[in-house]
Amino acid sequence: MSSQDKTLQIEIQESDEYAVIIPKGYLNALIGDRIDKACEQLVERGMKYLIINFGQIELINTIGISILVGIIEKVLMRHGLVYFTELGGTNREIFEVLGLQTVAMIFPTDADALAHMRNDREIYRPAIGG
Amino acid sequence: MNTNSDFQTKALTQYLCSRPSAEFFGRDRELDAVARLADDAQRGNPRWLVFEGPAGSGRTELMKQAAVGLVARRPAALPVWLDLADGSRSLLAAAIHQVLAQAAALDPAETIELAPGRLGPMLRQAGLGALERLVAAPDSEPAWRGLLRAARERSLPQIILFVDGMDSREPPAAVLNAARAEGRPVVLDGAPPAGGEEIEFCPVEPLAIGDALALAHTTLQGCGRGFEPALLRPILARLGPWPGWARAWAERLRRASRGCDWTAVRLAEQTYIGFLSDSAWSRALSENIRKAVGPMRCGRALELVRLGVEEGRPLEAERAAETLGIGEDRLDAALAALERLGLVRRRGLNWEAPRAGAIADWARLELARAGDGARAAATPMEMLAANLTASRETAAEPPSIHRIFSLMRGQVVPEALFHLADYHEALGALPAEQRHDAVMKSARTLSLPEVIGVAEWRRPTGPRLVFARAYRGGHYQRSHEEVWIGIDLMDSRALTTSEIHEALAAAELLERQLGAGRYVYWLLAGADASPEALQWLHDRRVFCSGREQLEHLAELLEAAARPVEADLPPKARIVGLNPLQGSRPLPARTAPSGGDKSHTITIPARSESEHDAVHAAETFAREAGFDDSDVGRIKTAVLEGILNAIEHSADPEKVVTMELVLTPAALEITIDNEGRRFDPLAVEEPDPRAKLTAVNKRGWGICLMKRFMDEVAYEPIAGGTRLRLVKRRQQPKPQSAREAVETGISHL
Repeated sequence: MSSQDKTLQIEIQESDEYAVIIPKGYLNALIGDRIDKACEQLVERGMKYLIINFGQIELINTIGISILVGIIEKVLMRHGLVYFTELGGTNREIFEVLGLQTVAMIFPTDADALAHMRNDREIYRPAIGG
Repeated sequence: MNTNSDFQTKALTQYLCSRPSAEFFGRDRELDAVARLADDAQRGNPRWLVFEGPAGSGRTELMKQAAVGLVARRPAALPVWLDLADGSRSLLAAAIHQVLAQAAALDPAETIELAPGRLGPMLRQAGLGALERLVAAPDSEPAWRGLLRAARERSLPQIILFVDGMDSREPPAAVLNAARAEGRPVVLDGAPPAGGEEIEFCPVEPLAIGDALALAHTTLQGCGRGFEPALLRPILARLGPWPGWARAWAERLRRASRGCDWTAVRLAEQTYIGFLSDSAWSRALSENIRKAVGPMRCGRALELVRLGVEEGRPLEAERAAETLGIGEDRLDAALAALERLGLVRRRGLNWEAPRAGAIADWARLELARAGDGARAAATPMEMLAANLTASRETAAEPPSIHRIFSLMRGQVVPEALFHLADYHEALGALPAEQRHDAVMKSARTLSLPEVIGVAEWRRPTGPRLVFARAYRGGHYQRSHEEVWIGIDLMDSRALTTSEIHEALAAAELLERQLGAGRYVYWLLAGADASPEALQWLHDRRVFCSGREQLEHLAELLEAAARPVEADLPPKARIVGLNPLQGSRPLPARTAPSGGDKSHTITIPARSESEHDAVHAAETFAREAGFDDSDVGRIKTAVLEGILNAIEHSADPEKVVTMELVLTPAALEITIDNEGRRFDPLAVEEPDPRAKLTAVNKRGWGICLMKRFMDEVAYEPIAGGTRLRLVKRRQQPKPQSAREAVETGISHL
């Protein structure tokens, strides 16, 4: 299932096991809030794996970063995982400088994140009831 | 047989009172008078000698030294010491013992029994059997005449009577009459009743200043309390160079040497000296007391201290409140302020007065008797009280530590300044002009880190702390970062050890909040401080600057921050240029020169406006030749800077102005906002793991700016705050040291 809200500049690709959120443009408080709400709805529905694809993000500010950290916290509390993908150039440098790789999974592509997800599901999820 | 108090033992040294001559200075003239007296007596011309002088002038010690000198150097003289204040035995018995000691050549340290049964055989053995019946005789003139006559008949050395205590006791008529009748020389510390004998009056003058200093120093050192003469000089200046106070001081120290709190005593001494000398330090302490409890309660604060001293135990909080005359709701604050001054100390729920206790103890030294009565009559507590009511002149404000740090931004600061800022130097004898020259010379050789940001740590109480992030090595690296914590104690010029402890504890707390790293503490003190406090700082390698050093530093830094095109004095060049370093610091932000490219954009202080600023910065940076990576970093830094400016403007009607200036060395960006001042550099370095569970998940912006730019600094401007971001342009490395030097010079 795929949905796109052009107003909110967020695209969400959803499957049974995971969802890919694709924000676009400038990740600020406004877009961050939308991502947050979308993730919250997905987690409420029992989604354990969320992939946030930054391939179409041109600019990130730290208010957006703080919202992402809040999303990570919520998902982790539900024994889920958040993957950040397609981070390039300055965006990747921002995540590294701020040390976000220590609290979130960063992969070059969605496929890499999915590979990790499947491995994680087989090994860890049963143990924690996922 | 007399069986009263004469049944005792007593060392002969107690009569002879031998003392180390090292504690005796500057009485040659008086000692010569005693020597002449002994010579005249030997020639058959007995005279009397009276030492005249005020209490505390050292007459007793002088007479003891003279008597000991006669024993040591004149076998033909037999000094007999008579202490009128010693009521434990008769003067006659004391004299017989001393005569016996001389006749039997006893060791002065030997203890002899005063019991007549033991003394009789000794006297007979010494050929002084005629004195045996005098031992139990009353202290009468016939008995004294018998003693003096027996000594002459046995060809004993010439007895010279030393009578001490004439000022405070009734003159010993029996002794004096017998001495007149038998023609014996007498030395007295006060004029006797007229009797017709020849009397030489010898005034005991104040000591020469050098002798007085030496005496005080040696005396106090003798009981383990060394003080530099410079520290003692203020006391001498106030009390006069009389030796009595030093001996009283030493005596008090000896008495207090068992189980006392030496730290408290030492601090009390320092404070005491300050009070006696009416130093700026003591005045500042007085002012601080006034600040602590208010001008109307200074007397009560002193009363509180006095009660604590006299009762020798902690005062209950309720009683302290009653004494201070304030409610319990304000008591803690007032007492905490007094505690910071070291005047009281919390003991559980109650309070005691450790340091002031010793101060008041000093007041009981009764220095009025030791020196000039009129001046010494004022106890230290009274002096303190007087200080509390004295008017004060307000000194000119010194440069603040915040200003100093701000001036240090982007500059290599001569480290020598900080070494010279050590208070030992500040208090040294170098004239200001010479000290300034020394600073300038030292500045050529040493450098401090470049300061990249300044912030203030605000707390409701305690000293003001300003901290600056800085780095060494020319290029910023996280591993090269260090934090300077400035501890501002300029207001509290009574720099006591307890204040320093409190200030450093606050700095350590700040250090823990800022996280691991290299920290340098820099304490800014007022113009006066206790030597002990300074030594303590020196031992712990804490930089300490006074008013004068700050003024020097501010002058130097301001000169360095002037536009490079201006006619700079030579001293500015010293600071601004260190061409042999890998990179040189940029001069402080100036108006763009003719060759520089610049662009200014003003945006409304509301959300979404940041797009325009970021776009302008991106365009400017690309045209300047920065690569994609640097452009991305510049965009992010500008974005964060603009967002902060908008947030702190707090009014969408206000504007944020960004200026971009491209110089040959760097892209310099300034972002000015209108509104309340702020300094995000005070925000802690974010920890992602901690942020996960933290309520406030923001606070990442400054971290990004610092990582992506070469310089980040905030400073207050009129009506707002200015953020300064610098991104250096990549330049080819100079091919030689000479080229490096020339490159550096060209920037000047």
